[in-house]
Amino acid sequence: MSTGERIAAVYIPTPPSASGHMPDGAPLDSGSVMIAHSNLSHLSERNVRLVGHMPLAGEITLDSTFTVPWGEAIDVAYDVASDDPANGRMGTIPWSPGCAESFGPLVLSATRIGTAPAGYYPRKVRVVVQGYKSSETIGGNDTRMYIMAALTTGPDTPLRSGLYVTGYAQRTAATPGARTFVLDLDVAAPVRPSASWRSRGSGLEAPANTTLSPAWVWVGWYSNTVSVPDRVESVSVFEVYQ
Amino acid sequence: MSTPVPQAASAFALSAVRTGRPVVSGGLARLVDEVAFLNGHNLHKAGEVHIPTRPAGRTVLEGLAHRAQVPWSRSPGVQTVRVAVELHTSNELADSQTIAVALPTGAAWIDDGGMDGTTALYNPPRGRTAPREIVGWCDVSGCTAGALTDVWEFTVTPTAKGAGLRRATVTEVSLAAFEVGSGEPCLDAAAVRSGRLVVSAWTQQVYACLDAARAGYRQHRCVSGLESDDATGASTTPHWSREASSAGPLDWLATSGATDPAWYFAPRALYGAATSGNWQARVRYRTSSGTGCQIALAFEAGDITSGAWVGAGSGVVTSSIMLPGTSGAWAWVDQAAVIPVDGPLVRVAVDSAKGPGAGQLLSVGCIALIEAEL
Repeated sequence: MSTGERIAAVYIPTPPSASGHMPDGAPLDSGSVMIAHSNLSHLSERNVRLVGHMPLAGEITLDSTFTVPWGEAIDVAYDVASDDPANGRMGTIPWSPGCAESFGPLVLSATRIGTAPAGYYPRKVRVVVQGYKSSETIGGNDTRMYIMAALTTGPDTPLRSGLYVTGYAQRTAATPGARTFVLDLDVAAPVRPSASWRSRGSGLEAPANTTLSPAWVWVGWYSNTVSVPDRVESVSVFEVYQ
Repeated sequence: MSTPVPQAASAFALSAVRTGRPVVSGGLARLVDEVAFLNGHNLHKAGEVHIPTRPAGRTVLEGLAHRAQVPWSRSPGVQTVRVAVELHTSNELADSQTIAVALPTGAAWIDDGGMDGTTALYNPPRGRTAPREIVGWCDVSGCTAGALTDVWEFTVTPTAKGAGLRRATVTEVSLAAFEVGSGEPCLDAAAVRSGRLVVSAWTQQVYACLDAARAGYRQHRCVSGLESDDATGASTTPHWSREASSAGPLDWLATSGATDPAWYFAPRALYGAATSGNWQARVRYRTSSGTGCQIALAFEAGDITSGAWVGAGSGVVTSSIMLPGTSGAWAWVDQAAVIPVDGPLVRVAVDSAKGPGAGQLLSVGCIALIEAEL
């Protein structure tokens, strides 16, 4: 939803600025002003950023997403208490190459109004993962496939960075087949600027640095299959305006 | 004088400017704020390069000189870009590489962060999960806004044990304030203080700023990977490729049985669902011989429902791009593309590719789409 009211949910074409549309002495009529406000509101809603897109390698198993990654990790250790993605505890995987990818940063832009708590909320970031769940069962139990995502305050993994929000989807061998996973990372609260970035060359009147809210998007995957792998095939990360 | 840039869009009710209502400075000040948000804060996020390690049997990244491309179109307001790379991990001795970044015309480093082509950048140790971003800051105020052929090219020159580039990313940096009167796409906030006369030059600038936010803003969708001088054949090449001259899928280096990848994004759909979007498709490729090749991109609007893609009424639109033979050189080819928007999402896939034929190879390094609103 746009924060500003619109005449209609479209951009209304306006004359080129150089056409002499409003010469000196001409009235600034309410219709023209309404169109300008409406168009700006529409653009604020629709100018969403596309953060990153990549193909993924295909097969994933317990070995490639859990056993080997945790066995190789030298700066983090598995903690069963942190392995609960359904409740935002993202310690199922170490978020290392092969079981996770990061995207961004993007500078969060607030275009939504919320009331609990009150304030401007950043746009939602959507993660779409094209995958496939195998039908393998182990000891009579369905194997599981997790797709996890997190919006972090820094470039470090979701295990060490501040977390704006996390997302999680699960598929089991009871429902095998191709699946397009959709995770919306919805920061339902105002965020405060957390970093200062260089935004200009030197020697100008405007500030050379800007305090802003950068965010990194992490996408991770887990499978406990052994002989019939699950698959992850592509990932897309982008803002949405819905 | 400068005009502040807010980090949020502003709320506004149109009833405040209806006929018969008194003109107040607040309504005009909102125009200033919203223009500043759109052109100064909500700036482009360019695409990204991701280069996973190559599958078994392929030419390995270790010791392989390679390049990566990030197509980019400058937004009208941006002054500075944040450029960052990450390296693969390695436990080898002397595992380092230099990275040189070929900047778009008009850009200049403020701080190259070591991406100067001479600094030895060592690979992080294997097993380290914490990423190490190497960050540079670049002044892009001299670049042409809206250009569709600018690109950031990362050239990686490793030692024999250098493990290579893992990721590269480019982000435009939001501004704290605009410089009024310097040609930046903003409105003078001081001109609409209570009691001041609003002159025609100011109202004309409203329309110029609207256009900057409408047509100057360009979505960037990019799938970018490895390019190198490796000339091995289809079974060992480290690149995305196709050999056969018949129409068929690209080899994405995925494991057998994997479905070809498709990607998704939310289009702007500025003029409603019936008016398709104008884009520029950019393909970075190489053919091993002089034989021309082809790649066809498929676009479809729709939505994802219960884990499955559901296309909208306009159906799949295919854009075929001819790739002239390059005889071993990497090249860009650009072509306009029209993408339907009669759904909340757009699905993009490589419909098919035609290679040069037996014993020869089409290699692909980047498939990008940059919005080209008129």
